[in-house]
Amino acid sequence: MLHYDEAKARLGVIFREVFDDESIEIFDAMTADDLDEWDSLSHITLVLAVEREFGLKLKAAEVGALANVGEMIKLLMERGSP
Amino acid sequence: MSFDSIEFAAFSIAVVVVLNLLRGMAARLAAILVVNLVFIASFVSAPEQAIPLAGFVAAGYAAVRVAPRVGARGLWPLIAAVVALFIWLKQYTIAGFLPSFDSFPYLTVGLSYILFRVLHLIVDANQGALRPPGPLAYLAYLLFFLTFVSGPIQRYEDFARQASEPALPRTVVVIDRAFNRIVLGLFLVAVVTQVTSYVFHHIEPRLYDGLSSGRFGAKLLVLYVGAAVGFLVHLYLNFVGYMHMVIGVGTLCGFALPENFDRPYLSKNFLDFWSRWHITLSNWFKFYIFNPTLKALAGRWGTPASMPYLGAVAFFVTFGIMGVWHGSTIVFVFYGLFLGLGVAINKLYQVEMARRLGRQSYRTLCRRFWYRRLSNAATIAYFAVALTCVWIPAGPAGAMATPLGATLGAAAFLVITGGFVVAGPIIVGIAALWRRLPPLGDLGQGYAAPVAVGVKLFVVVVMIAMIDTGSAPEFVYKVF
Repeated sequence: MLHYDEAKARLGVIFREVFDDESIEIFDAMTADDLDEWDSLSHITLVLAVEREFGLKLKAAEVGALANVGEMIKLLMERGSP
Repeated sequence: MSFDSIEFAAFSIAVVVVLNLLRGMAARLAAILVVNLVFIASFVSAPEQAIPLAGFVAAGYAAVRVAPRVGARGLWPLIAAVVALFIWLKQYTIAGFLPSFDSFPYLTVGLSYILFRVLHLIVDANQGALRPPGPLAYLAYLLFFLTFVSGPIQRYEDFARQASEPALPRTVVVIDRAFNRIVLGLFLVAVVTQVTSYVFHHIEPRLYDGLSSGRFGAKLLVLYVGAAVGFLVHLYLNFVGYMHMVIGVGTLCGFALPENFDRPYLSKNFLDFWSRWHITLSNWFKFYIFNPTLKALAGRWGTPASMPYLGAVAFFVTFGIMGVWHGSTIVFVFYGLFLGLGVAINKLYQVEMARRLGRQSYRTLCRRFWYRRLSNAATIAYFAVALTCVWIPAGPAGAMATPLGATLGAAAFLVITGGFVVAGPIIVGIAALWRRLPPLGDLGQGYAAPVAVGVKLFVVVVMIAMIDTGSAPEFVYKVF
């Protein structure tokens, strides 16, 4: 199982790459409301990047239900590859 | 059984009492199933009319049970089989070569929403996101009387959790708020939408007469704008009213049903609109059509530059399917594609503006008052014009598919946009004022609160008894 800090750090790198913004600092309660560019298209780009980085395949229900960064980290801690 | 009937009020009271007395998931599920069957029986005059629906439900169960064992490749044949059966039972034109049941008036109410729930179960069971429910839980969920007619589309895991343990504490405040929603919903459906229905149906024949003349003019434009805005207002208040009643009764039964509307009149743009209008349907399409489609496209061809275009394709696919779901005629195909065009243009416009102005300048522009007003008003106007496909009969729809119809649609879009730029803040102001009002009859704590609840129960019964239920407008979405 991945450690929280590691999952968060790797996810933070993905966010900065996907949204092309080095100033992004992710936090658990962060949602699409906190990031103007986080829309339905970038959400899928994010999901694909997460799948590649953590070596997993997200289910339809998981892709739809991942509403905030905290939920993503929790999922990655459970299923992500070190 | 209509939601604004005295029968439904009596039925709901009995159901609320029974479900609050029972403990344990099995007992509550069994009671819900009995309640569901009684509710559905009220829609048929002979038991055999429910046989096709029962067959569909049984086929759905078989598909859900087998889904975890067929792997990713076996998912598509399962979905195709269930959708094909749905298309046949709903008598879509595409299934015209199959035997039809024209002389046999069977029950189709609720079939569309059953399809959504079955597909959700099949996909999630196949991908291991949930364990297939047993027959009792499946039937209780699929046929749940409160969401049977037109949603909201509750996810199975939420339903199962709430069937096991009531979602909200049974405090007087919670019960009081539930009654507030029922009273408000009843008022909207039985009183307010009587007025909006009258206005809309008053304009309709005059508009069709004008369309048949084939000449564009100010009078025709006024009639069309009146009909388009009238139907939008009627649909919204009718749907919201029903949702208030459904969610209110659901709360009393121990269920926290998902909300279907979040002040769509505040939408920033057409993309934002779909997170505020018919939310559970939008989410279903997002979960099971849009996201997988875009994911498949992006996985193959995705680059930062191509994503907006792939997104546009995914929007067209999603809204095209949504349009066809509303009805099988070419008008509904156009409806879906028109909505798809709206969101695709919206997305591509955002990308282009951000590219031309720079992200920060575009963000600043989006925050300007006049820009927000214009964007909000254009969103509402576009949807009002698109809804023409839902209300216009086949004959006049032909006239709308001519240069006259295109001119009328474009002119109406501009007029409604201009009108909503002005009317929008007034509507928002009234809505904000409404939300600031103290809860209806909230008499405070202590002995006064149960009294308030009792008074509201009495008001509900009296309101229903006073209403000529035969003249109350039908729930618009019941036909889909």
